[in-house]
Amino acid sequence: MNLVPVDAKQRLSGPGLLMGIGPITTRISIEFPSIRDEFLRIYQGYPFFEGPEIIDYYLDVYAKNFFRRYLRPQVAINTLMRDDFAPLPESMGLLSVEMALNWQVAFGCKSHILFHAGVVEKNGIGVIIPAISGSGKSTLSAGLAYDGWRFFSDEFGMLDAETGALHPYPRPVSLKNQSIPVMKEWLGSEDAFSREYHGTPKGTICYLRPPDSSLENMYKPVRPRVIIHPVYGPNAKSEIKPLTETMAFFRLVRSSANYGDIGAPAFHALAKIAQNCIACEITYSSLEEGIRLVNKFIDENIA
Amino acid sequence: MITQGQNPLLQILKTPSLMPALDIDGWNQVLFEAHMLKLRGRLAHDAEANGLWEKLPDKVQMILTNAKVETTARQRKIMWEVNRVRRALFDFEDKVILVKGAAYIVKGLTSALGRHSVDVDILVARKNLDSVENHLFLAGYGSQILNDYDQQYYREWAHELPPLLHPDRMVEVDVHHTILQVTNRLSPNIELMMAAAQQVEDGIYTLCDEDMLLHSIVHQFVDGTLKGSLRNLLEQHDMMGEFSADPDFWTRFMDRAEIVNFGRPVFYSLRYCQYFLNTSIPADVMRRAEKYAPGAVTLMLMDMMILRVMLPFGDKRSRLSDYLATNGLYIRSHWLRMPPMMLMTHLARKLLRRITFSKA
Repeated sequence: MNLVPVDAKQRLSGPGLLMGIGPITTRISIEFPSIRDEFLRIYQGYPFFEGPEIIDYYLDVYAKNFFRRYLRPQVAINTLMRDDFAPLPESMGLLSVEMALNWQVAFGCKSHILFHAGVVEKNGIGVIIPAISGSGKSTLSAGLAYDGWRFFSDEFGMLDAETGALHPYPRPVSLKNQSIPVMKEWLGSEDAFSREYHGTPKGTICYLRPPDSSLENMYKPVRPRVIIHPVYGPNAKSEIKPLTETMAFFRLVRSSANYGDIGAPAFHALAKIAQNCIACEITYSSLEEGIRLVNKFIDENIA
Repeated sequence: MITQGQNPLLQILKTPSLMPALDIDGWNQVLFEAHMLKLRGRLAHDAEANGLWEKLPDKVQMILTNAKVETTARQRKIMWEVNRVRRALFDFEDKVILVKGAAYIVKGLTSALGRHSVDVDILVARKNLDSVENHLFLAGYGSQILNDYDQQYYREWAHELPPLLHPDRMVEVDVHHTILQVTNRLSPNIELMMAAAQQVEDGIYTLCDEDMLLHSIVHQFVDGTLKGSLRNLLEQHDMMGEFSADPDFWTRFMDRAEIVNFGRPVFYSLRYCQYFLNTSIPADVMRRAEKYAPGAVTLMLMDMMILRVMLPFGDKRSRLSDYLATNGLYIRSHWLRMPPMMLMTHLARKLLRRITFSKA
């Protein structure tokens, strides 16, 4: 059963709040009231369980001592996994929370094949958008999400090796630097955005909540049909370059965090995806162009 | 039936068929403790081996799959590293003895099943240390510890070289020349153990059964931290069960323990295996071990501390007593490890380093 927001705040400050996103349930407690507020703002509309639920990960956001709580506030993180996060000032607390949640999935999840990729869906067609950081995959995934697609993730593609289905894990999108004004203009409103965090190691960061319809459908898997590698460049010529099955396969392997650990089942699952998907690389110079090319490639290749 | 008031993790380790009887809160406690104690892989194995997998909640299956994939992958990496070490040592003439996790894996012991193993530990004669280290350097391994005090400390007093890593694989290889710190009050006759080692593959050995069990015991009760070390106790429990299929095992084991002067730690192991895991130990073996029990007061203290730290994560306990127990056992392990003067200098140095954040 879902909790009303006021109870959610109490849970966060006390015994821990049970939050379910896609297949993952995390118990989170946060010692700092300011971070609790920012957290609940960006995670508004997410499922918070009354409990009891079986818990995947525990996250504790706390101050190491009185000095670090009240005098020079600093946020420490305990993920119960071998992390090594430097404490951040209280004003950047939400970054710590997001980093920790990423860490737990990236290093703990072996039940699904993980891709460092965005994933979206429309009309039952699952699209995997694998890429390295800075290639524009978060922006493109978020742009598609606010253009009629169902948002699965901007960072973690999760594939069930047995069924071959992608599972949504719709965390807030992490936008960096120039992507932030682009997306704010795209949405035409700032309601779904967190505040901007300036001066982080990656520059300015801002979080964007996925559309409500994507959150409401976060337990419905889809079959992957399309793989699109985005290459954004401010002066890039709009272009679609088809990829062979072999290239599609190797790029999926390269983008997977746990391919080696899962071993043979991952090999077979990825080979099957490469075989059954159409794949291309797109180069583009604006979000509109990127989205146009995605639609064009799919319209021309899937009846 | 899960018995109220008893730790559910211990109950299902002893009786896996109880798993389906756990409710959600029970699972959360079991999975949390098993995570902290690195025993989730073992639970995954026990569930599968006992035909219980399908009876577990989907969510539990998913969490245990994470652990199963991870422990399997780690064991695979370890065995590949053993293969690489063999290759690096192909023209090294003397015995290379695998100990701990890698040994359990090559021997196919119960204690390897679902075990979370991260390092490769090998044991070689002290006179061969330089040669083995050079072989490994030539094959591309490097030392991670560059600070002079630590390097010297390892070389002079430790029972192993500073850990080695191959940069392509990053699996730690620890080269030991004995099984306890050189300065430890119990100094075992390692030559005897090395002579009794058994060949498993060309040039690769493991300790004989008795010594393998003794090694696990001293690693836990003499040299290691006892806090959260239930999995070491479990591996001893497994070995006792497995090795005692041979009717002469217990006699050989107790004889050996006496020869190498490990009576006291063996007493502790038998006592706590029986207490936590109901290990079946013949009464005459227990009586023989009791000769090596400490005085009544020490034993009471030890019992109190062990009960607190073996499963330290339940609620309903005072934090102060946990703290005292943990630190009491920490001091004990150091006390056993080196003579008082040396301990003082060592700890002073470590303290200084913490205060000044220096690497000296």
